[in-house]
Amino acid sequence: MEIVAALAGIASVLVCWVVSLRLLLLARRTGQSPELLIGLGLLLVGGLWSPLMAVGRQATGLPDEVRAAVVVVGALTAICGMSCIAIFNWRVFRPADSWAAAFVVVMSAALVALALAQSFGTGWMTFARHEQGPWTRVSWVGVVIYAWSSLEAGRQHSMLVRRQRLGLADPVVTDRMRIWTWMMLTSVAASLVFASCQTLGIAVAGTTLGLTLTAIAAFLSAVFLYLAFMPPSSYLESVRRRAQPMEA
Amino acid sequence: MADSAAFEFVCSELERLSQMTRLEARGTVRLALKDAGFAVGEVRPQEMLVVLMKLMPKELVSRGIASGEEICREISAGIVRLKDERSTSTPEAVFSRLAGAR
Repeated sequence: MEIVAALAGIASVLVCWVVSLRLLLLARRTGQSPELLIGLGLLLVGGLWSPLMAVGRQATGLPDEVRAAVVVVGALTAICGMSCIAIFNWRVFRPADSWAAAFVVVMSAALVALALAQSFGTGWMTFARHEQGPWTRVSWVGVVIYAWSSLEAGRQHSMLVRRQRLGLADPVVTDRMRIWTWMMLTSVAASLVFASCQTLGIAVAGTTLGLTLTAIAAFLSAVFLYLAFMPPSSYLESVRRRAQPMEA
Repeated sequence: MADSAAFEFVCSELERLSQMTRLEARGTVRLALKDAGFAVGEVRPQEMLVVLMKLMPKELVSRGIASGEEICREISAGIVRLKDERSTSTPEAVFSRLAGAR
């Protein structure tokens, strides 16, 4: 199981890097903030946070100071990355709603507060060694942000499906929204299980349960990212073939 | 979000041509737009045109307006004169761009 989880994790991180770098290059070309936010979010959360936390927690051969430093950098990437995803939700799906802006501020503040509580409380060395302290609650913030993402994307997908029946939406864009919804739902499920286990005091890092969950979530994330942002032309053709506009 | 120009135009024309009250006209157009998957603040004239041709006649008939198709044709003739600007910031436009990453 360790090898399967490691392979799935590596595949997920690699796809995350490639997709996020392509999105950041796109952002440089277009000068638009959504591609910048989602590119940064994917790079920081999927491409850096997960591997940094895995190294900090499980590379027991490293000196404790190095492990603590690695988890601190991991926490910083989590704060910035999850905030980027929350800002993306607000700017893309709810740009005119002040509650969405306020929600982003609350979520980002919660992430910073957890990191500060860990720093001035049990410390990062304890987190690296035993996965204990306020920062363990970060998965719950992830659950909320990903749940919001999946709700907004799911709502938008259902609107695009109705537009597509009238021939007013590109089936490829509708499909991309569906895959993004699934990807966010996968993140909700994974974060929810991790958060519940951590809250109940069930060890997950390095255990069979943790490895199995990591393998499933990482594999699904890699597939969804690939299909959403780097779809092969044969897949796009099949999406277009399946799309049937309503008769006038 | 403010209601779009296309939505406002169709509502006022429907109110004028069908003897509906302002509230009835706006409610009818809102329902048709919901059925078509649009928010009243983001629908563009070209999209509204399709809604007028494919969904609105049925909505009007179901409200006892026999001349629904005729009314929709008349409103359609006016709506094409509205400026049609594609926004780059709608969720659809953003997700359309995201696959353009190379």
